[in-house]
Amino acid sequence: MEQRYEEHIKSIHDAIIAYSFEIQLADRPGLSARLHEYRTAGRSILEAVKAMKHLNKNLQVSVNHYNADIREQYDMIRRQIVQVLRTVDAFKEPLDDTSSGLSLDAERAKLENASLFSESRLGELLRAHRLSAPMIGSMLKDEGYSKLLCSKMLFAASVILGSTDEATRKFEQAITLTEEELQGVVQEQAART
Amino acid sequence: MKTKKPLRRTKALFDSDEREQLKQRTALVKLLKKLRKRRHQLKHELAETSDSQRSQQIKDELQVLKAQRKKAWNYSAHSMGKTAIQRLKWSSSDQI
Repeated sequence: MEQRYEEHIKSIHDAIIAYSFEIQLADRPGLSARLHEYRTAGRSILEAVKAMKHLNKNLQVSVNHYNADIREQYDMIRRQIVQVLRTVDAFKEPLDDTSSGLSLDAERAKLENASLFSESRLGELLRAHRLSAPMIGSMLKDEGYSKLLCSKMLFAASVILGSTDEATRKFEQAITLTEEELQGVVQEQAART
Repeated sequence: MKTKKPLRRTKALFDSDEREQLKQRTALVKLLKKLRKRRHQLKHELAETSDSQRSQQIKDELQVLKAQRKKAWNYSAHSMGKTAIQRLKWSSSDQI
């Protein structure tokens, strides 16, 4: 994976960056801003791939792990990633006309809200000697990588697959919820339950 | 000539900032309509579903939609003024 990352992703990304800086768009500010957005999205994809690189080893090991508790916990990470991939896919090819750049906010709120591993459950497993402290440490670190991977993918999707109409993009960007606003929504959701 | 006046008006519209504003307003209305439609879809699904997990997910998404519509409402009022908002003709049931 390391080699593939270097050969197929990083080198291409570097070439795109170099090209995007070479072309002159000083007289077309709209296009220049768009190019900047694409560069940021490209960097997000790169960060998502890096997070996947960190996750990959433990995810693979956990598939056939003798400890069912580890399999169960890592399945949650898999489910989270698949859910985000499905959302991105639905955003790319919407089934109806209600999809917009704002459709990804619901998934972002879910991510913000989600703590995959319940602390009480992990404590329980530790006390019962079903998981060791280093295992729990690794799992929590991997949970962080998964969250990072998902949020970067959602951001990249919103830029790359979003509307091409400038006015629509402008409004979508203005109305997309910020991190603080998402936190507020998540708190409201928590208060409701 | 009867056509001169409307032609002059059309030309003035194309030459003015109003054309850009009109474009922006159309984009905003389209976006707001999408949000409204999605909300109706979700409410309908919520009434139909008996799955508690799905119902929870729908309620969560409705909460996000509410925040987005509130932000859209404030944003449009701020950037386009109240008259433009009144033209959106939201029915009272659609108010946030």
